[in-house]
Amino acid sequence: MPAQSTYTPINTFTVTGSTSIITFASIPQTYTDLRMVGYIRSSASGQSTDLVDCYFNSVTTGGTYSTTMMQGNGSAASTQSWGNVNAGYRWALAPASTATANIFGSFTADIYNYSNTTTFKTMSTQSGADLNGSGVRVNTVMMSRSTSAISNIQVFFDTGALFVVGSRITLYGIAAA
Amino acid sequence: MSVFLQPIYTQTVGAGGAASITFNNIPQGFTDLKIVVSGKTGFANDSYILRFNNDTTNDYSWTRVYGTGSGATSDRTTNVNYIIGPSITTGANPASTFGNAEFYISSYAGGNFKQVFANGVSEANTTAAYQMLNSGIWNDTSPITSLTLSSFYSSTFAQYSTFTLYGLSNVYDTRVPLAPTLGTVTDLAGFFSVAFTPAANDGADTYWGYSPAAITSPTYGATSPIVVGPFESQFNYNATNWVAAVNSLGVTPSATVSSGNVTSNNYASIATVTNSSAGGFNALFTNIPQYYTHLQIRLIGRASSASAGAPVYIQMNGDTGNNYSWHYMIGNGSSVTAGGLSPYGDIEGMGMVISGNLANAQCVYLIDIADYTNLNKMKALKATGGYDLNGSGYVNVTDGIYNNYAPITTLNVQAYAGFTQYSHIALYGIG
Repeated sequence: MPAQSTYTPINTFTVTGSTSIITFASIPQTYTDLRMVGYIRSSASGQSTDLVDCYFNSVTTGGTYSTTMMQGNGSAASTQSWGNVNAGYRWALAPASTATANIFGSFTADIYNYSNTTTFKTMSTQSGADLNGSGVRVNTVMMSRSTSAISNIQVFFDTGALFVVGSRITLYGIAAA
Repeated sequence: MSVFLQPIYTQTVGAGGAASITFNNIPQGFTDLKIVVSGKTGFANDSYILRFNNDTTNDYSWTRVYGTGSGATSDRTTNVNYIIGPSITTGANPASTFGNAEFYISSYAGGNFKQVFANGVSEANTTAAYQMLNSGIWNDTSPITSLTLSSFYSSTFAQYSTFTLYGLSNVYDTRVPLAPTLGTVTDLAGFFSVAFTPAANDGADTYWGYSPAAITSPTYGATSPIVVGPFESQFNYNATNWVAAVNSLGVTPSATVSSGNVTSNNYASIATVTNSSAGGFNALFTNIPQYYTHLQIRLIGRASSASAGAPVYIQMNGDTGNNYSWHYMIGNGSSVTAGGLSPYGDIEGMGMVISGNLANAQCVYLIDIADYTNLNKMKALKATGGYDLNGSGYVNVTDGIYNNYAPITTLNVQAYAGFTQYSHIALYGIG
C-alpha cells in the first residue's frame, strides 16, 4: 500500500483586533476531510462560558442545521439535541468574561467528506474548557442538510461576542490515499 | 566460508526490562545470520528460546548438551513451539553478571527447513554454572524475515542486555560496489521511502538506506524502495546522503537525491476503502506497514442494515474469536447511557445511521489505535463520533481492547449488511 503524506495546514486565523466572525473562504476542494483546531475565548459579559456556532457556505436561513450534544460539567452528564436551526449550533464552548483571565478553551472539529455533492455534511467535535474548579467537556455531532461542497466556513459565538485577542483557529486539509 | 560479517541491528534493553526481543524486516541478501547476545534475566537457570516469523506452532525440535562443572548431560525435545537456546544466567544471578551466547542460522533465506546451532555460557562465580551447546530446527521452508528471543521461564531481559543481529555472506568480492541511482522519495510520516535503481554489474551484496545526520542505525534492503527513519517531524531530506551499496570490500559513496524536497509531517494516508457505485461492502486493510507509531481511521458512512443500533464493528489480525472487550458512552439528546460487553468477538459500540434513517445523513467516527506494533501491550482502541438526525442524534465515545500482543497487520472495519454507497473508510499512519 503506498502511503502519502497529508494533514496540511490551509490557513490560520489569529485574533489581533475586534473580530466576531472568523472566516475561512475559498477552501480548496482537493482534500478528503477538513479539521479545525481552535484555541479561543469569548468576550461575552456576565458569563463564564460561551458556545460556538458556525455557518457553512454562508447559509443562514432555512433551518438546515441540527446538533446533538453530550457533555459533563464535573458533577453530571447530560445531552441535548437541536433540530431545524439556522446555524451549526453549539458544537463547542469557550471561557468568557467572568472566567479567570488568560484561560482559553480548545476544540477540534472534523468535517468529513466535505467536498462531496451527494450526501449531507456531518461534523464531529470535541471541546473543553476547564476553569479551575468548574468547567465543561463537550462532544457533539452536527449535521448540515445540504449536499453542496463546503467552500466557506464562518465561526462565531452564540452570543455574538468578540473573540478575545490571542484566540486562534487553524484549518487543516486531510487527504486520503 | 563466510568472509563478510555485517551488523544489521542492535537492540539494548532499557529500564524496566523487556519480555522479548524481536528483529523484523530482516534483509534477505545475506547467506546466513548470526545473533550475539549479552543477556540476563531475573530467573535462575533460565534459557533463551528462539522463534521465527512469529510461528508459535509445534514446528520446532532441539537437542542440547550442557555441563555444570560436575557433570555433563544431553537431552532432546521434538514437536515444540520453540528452539531452546543456551543458558542465560544462573545461580544467584549476581548483579552486573551477564551471560554470553551466540546463535548461528544457516541459509535463512532458502527454501529448506532452518537449522540453528548455538552456544553460550553463564558463569556467575557461584557453584552452579552452565556451558551449553544447542542445535535446533524450524520445520518450515519459509524465508526467515523476523525472529524473536525470549525467556524460557517467561522472565524479562534485564536492562543493559544487548542483542546484535549480523548478516554473513559467503561471496568473495573483488571490488568496491558501484553506487545506485536514486529515484522518488516519499514521505511516510516520520519515515521516507527511497526508490533506487542498482548500477549494472554493481558488485553489491546489499544496499542500505541511511542518513548519517539523522539516524544511527542503517536500514538494510536488497530491493527498491528502502524505508529509512525515523525522522523528526518537519525533517527535510534534501542534501542528505541516502542509499549506498555495500559488499565485503567497502561501501560506495552514498548517492544523494538530486532534486525536489520532501518534508516529513508525521501523518500519512495508508489506504482508503470506498465505493461510489454500490453498497454492501466492508473495509479490510491488510499488510498494514509496521513503521508508524499509531494508526487512525476516519470513517463516514451508513449501514445497509435496517436494524436499530447496528454498529460499526472491528476485528484485528483476522481474529474472530471472543478476544475483545469494549465499552461505550452515548448521549442521544434525551439521556446519557453507558454499557459494554466482554469477552466478545469484535469491538462494537459505535452506532451507525441505518437504512430507514434520514436520507443522506451519515455517521462519522475518528478511531485511534495506539502503539499498534508493540509486542508487550494488548491493543487499545478509542473512538469518538456519532451522527445527527435533525432533532435526535447520537454522540458516542467508545473504547475497546484486543486481548493480544501481536502487532496489528490487518484491520477489518465492518457494518451490519455492509456499508452503503459513498461510505468512506480511510486508514492513516501517525509517526
